[in-house]
Amino acid sequence: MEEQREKNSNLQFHIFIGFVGVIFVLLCVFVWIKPDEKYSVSERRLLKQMPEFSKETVLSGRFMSSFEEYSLDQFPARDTFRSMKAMTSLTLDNNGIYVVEDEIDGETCKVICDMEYPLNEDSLQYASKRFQNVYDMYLKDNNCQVYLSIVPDKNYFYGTENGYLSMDYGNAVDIMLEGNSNMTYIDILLYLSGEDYYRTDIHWRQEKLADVADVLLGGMRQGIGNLETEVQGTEEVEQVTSEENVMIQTRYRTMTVEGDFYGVYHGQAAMPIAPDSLQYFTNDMIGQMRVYDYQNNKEIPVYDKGKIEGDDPYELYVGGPISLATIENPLCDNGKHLIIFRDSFGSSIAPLLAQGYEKTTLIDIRYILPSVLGQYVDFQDADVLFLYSTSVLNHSDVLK
Amino acid sequence: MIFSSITFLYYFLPVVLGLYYLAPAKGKNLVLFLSSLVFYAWGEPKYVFLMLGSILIGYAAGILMDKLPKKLVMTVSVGGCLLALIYFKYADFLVSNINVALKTEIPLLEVALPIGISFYTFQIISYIVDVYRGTVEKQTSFLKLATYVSMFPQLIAGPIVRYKDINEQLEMRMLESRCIADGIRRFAIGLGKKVLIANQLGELCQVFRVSDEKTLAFYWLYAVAVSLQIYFDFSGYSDMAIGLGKLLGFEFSENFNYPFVSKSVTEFWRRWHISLGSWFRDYVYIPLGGNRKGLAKQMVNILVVWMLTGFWHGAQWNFVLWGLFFAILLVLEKMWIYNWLQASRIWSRIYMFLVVTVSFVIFSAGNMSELCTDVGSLFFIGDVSHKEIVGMQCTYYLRSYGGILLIAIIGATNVPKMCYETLRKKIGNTCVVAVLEALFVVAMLFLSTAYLIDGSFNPFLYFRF
Repeated sequence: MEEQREKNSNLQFHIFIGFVGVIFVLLCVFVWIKPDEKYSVSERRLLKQMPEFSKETVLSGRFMSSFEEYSLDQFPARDTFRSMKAMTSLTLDNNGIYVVEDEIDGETCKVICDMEYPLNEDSLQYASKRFQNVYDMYLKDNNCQVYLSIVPDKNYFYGTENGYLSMDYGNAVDIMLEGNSNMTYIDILLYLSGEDYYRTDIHWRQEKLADVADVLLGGMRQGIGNLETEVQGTEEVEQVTSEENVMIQTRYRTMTVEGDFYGVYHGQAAMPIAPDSLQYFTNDMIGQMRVYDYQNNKEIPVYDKGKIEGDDPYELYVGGPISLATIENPLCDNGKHLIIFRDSFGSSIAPLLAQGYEKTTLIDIRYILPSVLGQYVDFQDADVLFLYSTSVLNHSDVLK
Repeated sequence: MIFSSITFLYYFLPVVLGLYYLAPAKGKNLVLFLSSLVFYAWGEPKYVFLMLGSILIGYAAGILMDKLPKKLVMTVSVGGCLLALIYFKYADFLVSNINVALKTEIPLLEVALPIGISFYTFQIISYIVDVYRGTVEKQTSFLKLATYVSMFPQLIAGPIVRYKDINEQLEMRMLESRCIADGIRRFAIGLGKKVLIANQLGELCQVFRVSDEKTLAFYWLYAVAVSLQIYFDFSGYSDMAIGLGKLLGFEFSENFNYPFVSKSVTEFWRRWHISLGSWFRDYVYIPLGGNRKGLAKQMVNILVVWMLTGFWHGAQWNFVLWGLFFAILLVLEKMWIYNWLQASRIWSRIYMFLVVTVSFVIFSAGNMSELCTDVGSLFFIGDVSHKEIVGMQCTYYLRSYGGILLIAIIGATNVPKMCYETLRKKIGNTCVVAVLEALFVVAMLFLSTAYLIDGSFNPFLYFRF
């Protein structure tokens, strides 16, 4: 009897060890033999490669620390494991990313958001100082009309109503206005909603921004539509009516880019969520615009479809994150010049704003020092718009 | 290298286990010693020689005790080991306090703390003292002594294994399938405790630290989270160490025994970091006279031992205060309230909840100013009294981490173990149980791997000790 029990116990141990052992060994074999990959499409980043093994790197400890990163990056089925974590996470957000449901274009869809929180007041004050630096250098003595507008992050629309934390947008605006009292604030908040943003990406959708573009142009007294806007100090606010929406849509042809658009949040969320599709507005005027990329010294299309296959398809719009570009609008001869200091949100709306100007200059001071701008840009009598998202303002150390 | 890393789990461990199992019985210590050196050098290439030097001191002391006056050899060798510990761990603390007290400007040494120095120094000291006392025979093989001290499962974060507990296993050990199965289970549980619970709670603690909306409720949420984080972090590590020991044929003594179910501080310290408590008892408290020289002397001994216990954890005043905090409570219990606490069901729980949470807030404070703010805020003293009681952030993070906190609270008691044993009794020893257990272990491994790959928060709190 005792002997039989012993046998049973041993059999159980062998089954247990065998089962776990086989899976562990297989996993180890995969780890050891899997060829290294260079790039993670879902995370949009280069993956760590095997560090150099030398006496110097070992003694300094660099080999070991780099190997730790390498082993994480090159783990087999890394994306599957990341999904496993996302789906089993007990916390409401996963590394700040959360998923909610919303009715978009008549369909109930899953929307991925980043819980941009809390408001970093120091960062906003720093951004204000960078803007004022530009103002003092180029704008105050060149008869420029200077405007400021802030794009709320997607979390502003989804966070609070779904029980997540979201930054105090009003406070963010107040801080920016306090630091930039010499700029006219154009409020676009009323014309935005959650569905104006891609479900899987941080950015807004250009095809939803016609009214916002009109508001901005109206604010800068360059209206091309019928919308008036709320400018700081006035109380005239008009919501977009459905008739106006129809009118806006007829001003543009909406083009859909072939293929799926997996936004930046899609990779971060590591969840099985349907991709977006990229769309853009065009019309005869936009079709004739000429864009010059000063960073790479070449002419580029307004919508560079070559970028769709790249790391970030959102770079479709005016070449994406380039430091300095101009848009010439041959069908507008009002002699007006618009200068937009912008982040990636500004790229997509730029072609719409450029309709009201003969020339539009796009500047991204994340990638170019303001001190060199004088060599390339004529600021005299220009309308200048600082158009930034709260996501960048809240992490403004990237601004030069 | 830490156990909860891809490097350890999928590169180091399979290679070492493969070599270890393939090696003949006589070669196993050599494999273990060399792999332990690699393990240590992975994090501290330079300090391998310091560790080997300390082992050499212990080895030489054992040999020389037959040839020179025992007490002299013991005093010099223990002093040598302690000197290294003091230099690397406490020198800057002493210098900075001298600078403050005497208004001098003696430059700091800024020496990096060798990983695990507190643990292996205490192991070597225990060996020397035990040989001096005649409790164990001296070890004539340097390899065996070095294997004992440097053995990677317990090298950098304990438990503090006594030589006398494993000297026979160093000579001869059996690798039975029961032992290996236990080891795998124990390691997987430890890995899950560390990666799936402690790291998540650590993220909550980090969120609290950077929050600008620290309300009374948020302070208490932090206090609970940090207490559980430290427990799951350290006990998880000990589980992994014990599990690895079993995989290699060693039996290490337990280091934790559900400390959070204790009804008194006295009981808590019989259940928390048992190997450290017993080390101080055997090598400091009893040599000081223990409870044999009157109540007053016993109280002084308790204060000294607990101050040293606190100081062992780190060269910061908060650790000294942490030790003294427990010392005062231990004295209080011994004098008056121990029996009452043991008889009470509710008050003892409230008392222990307050003691444990406050103690770990003291433990986790970065400096004295933070300590005062954190502890004061728990009792509505300071800036927190001008804020709302709960706050938006606290509400969100309580909702967000509520599930993990609940699992951690239940997991810190013996309820899961009791459930497992009841279930096991009902089902019996069948192959189904073996498969279910294997599935559980594989799930732990996969989930922990997933969390490691996607996570950024993975420190081992006890590394700095």
